[in-house]
Amino acid sequence: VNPTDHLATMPIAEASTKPAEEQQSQQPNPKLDRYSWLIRPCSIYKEELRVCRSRAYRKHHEFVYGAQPDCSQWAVDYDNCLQQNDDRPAFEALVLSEMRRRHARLRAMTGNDVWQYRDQPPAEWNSPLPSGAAEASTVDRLTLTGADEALNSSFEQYGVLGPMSIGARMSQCTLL
Amino acid sequence: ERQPSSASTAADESSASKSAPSSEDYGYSVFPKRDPGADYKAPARFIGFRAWRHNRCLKNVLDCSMTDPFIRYLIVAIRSRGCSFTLSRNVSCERCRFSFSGGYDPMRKQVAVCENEFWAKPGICSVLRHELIHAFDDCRAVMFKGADEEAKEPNESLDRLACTEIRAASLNHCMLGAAKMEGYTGMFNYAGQHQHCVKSKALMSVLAARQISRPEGEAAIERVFDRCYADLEPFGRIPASLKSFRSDCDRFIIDGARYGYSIQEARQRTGNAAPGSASGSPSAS
Repeated sequence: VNPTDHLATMPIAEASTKPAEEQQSQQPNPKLDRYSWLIRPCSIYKEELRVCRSRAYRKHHEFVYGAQPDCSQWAVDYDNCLQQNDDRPAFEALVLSEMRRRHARLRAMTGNDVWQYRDQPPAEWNSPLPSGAAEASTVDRLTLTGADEALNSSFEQYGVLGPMSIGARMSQCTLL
Repeated sequence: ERQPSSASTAADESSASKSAPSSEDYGYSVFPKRDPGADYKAPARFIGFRAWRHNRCLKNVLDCSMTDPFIRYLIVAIRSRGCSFTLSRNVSCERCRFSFSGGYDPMRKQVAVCENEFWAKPGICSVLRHELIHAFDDCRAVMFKGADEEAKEPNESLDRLACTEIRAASLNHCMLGAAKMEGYTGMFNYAGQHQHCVKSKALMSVLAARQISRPEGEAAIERVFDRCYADLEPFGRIPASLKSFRSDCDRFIIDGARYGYSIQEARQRTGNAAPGSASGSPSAS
């Protein structure tokens, strides 16, 4: 089962109802301008391409999907990203590609009809613990309250990744 | 790094009320502090090995929450969904009965980390990642409806549990190196074996959480596998390594911001999550 890759080549109905070959010879499509936020920084496409071509990712992809990874879409996206300001068809192709990826990911999520998604988070999420067997002891509560502040302030100060610990290695990323 | 091999996680769904069948305890017997029917009082230990172990568990929970990018991103994702996640209210280090490593309690909305088997950092981080997926699924979808409704529709509740376990197994465990070491794949014959690993681990977890037979568990996993294996939220990709910089360079964090999993969104939805404050106020976004 290859969950989402086969959807990456699906045409998106909103962009155009004509087949893909005719799209490139069309007039510039003004509807795609409002989706320019979908385009990521070009260094990210370069990084995705580098990871996709790496040996470790190739083994992982074979392990998961049983086939070789296809990195051509990332290469195309990277080229289009570099030319997006000069070349309108490149911009449109990139926006369409991003729309396909986003569509694939959201479709995988909404296609999961095993459970019903909530509109609101559960009301009992933050209710106080019942006095009884599962109540944390006083010592625990004091310890973990300090931990709460440390965690929240670390999110505010450092973002999602957190402070670099002493044992953290320099990553292989080319992103800065 | 090594995965905890033997112990599996357990204990979803509520404990048995008076009306539910007595044979199904939904895994709560593993966590004696959580079973309201038992007269178990956890004795407080302030000195000795148990105290040291408990404090080490708490310290490692905090360390994992500060350093592991997967755990931090999952916490941000849960908060972005409107459920305030704090260590004091939603995580608990406690001693468990059998050789489990942890569980998620949807009745009290707590991640229970067992300090019996593992209290070193890699084990605690692995347990936290696994249970945070359950917490994330509980936050965004209806996972548990109450013991009476669970008794009326056993197959659907089993399907939801199987779905969560499949997702937790595919996103956190079953990396190539670990699967080789634990025997889920061969050394060189590993093409397409990720599904086998995920199904095996999910089956182990489902059988530990419910009193059902193995064919029933396998049938439940087969029913939901295609839909749940494809659902990769909040990461959007199957991580290839426990060290995120080796596989992803934390790009799942950058991508996640475009799908609503970001610190700004978390701040907006939960208001910095003070424990005891009301959660779930609908945001204007």
